[in-house]
Amino acid sequence: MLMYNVNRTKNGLRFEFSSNYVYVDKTVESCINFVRERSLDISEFDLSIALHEVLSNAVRHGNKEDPTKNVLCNLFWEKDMLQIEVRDEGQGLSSGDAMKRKSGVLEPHGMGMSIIEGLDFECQYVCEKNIVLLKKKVKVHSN
Amino acid sequence: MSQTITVQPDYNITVSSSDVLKDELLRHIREGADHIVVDFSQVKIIDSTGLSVLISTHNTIKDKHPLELVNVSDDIKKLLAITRLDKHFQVN
Repeated sequence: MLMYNVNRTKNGLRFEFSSNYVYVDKTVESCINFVRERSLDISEFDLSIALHEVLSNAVRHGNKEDPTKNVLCNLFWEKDMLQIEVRDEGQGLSSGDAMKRKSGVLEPHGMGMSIIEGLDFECQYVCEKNIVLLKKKVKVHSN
Repeated sequence: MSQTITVQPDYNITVSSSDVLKDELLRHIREGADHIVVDFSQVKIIDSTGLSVLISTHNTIKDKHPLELVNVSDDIKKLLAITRLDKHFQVN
């Protein structure tokens, strides 16, 4: 059975959901609403794209689209830092497998992580624990 | 003789919706289109899965005419620059 849970935490939102792309869209929408509520000064486009990439990767490459496996996403804002931790239930990647696109090669895959870095998110992998952590310095809107 | 068609998606092109665009583009290619224009006026977001659909389409028709994107927002232009796809597609 498909499952989707979202909970408010002290400084953010915590999601757990079955591997289904509709839930990726739903999670991105909730995260955008959170940064709006908090008046955080971050491009909604950049955040939407980064979330789509990292959550879709967890569903596709981590959980191999297996609906019995879940994705956990924890988004929180603390000390002017927006952090997004995404964990899947897949086999994990060795550090050498982190997917990146070779520059200049026009191939229809492997762009996700290049995009996240291009949008100036700091990206860390904890491969053996299936965790991707994105960070970006974000302040509250001045007006 | 070149056959030009324009496709205007009225949805964001992400992993959950990109198959709709893929099917439409493939249908036009099968029907003989070799110059494809994608009108982005109603697209706010495209992720890497959506970009992959555009790349596959471009790779199929590029010998006749590069894939053409029109009414592209500044945000999406930024994404095309990050991925260097702006060097391959015709972006207006």
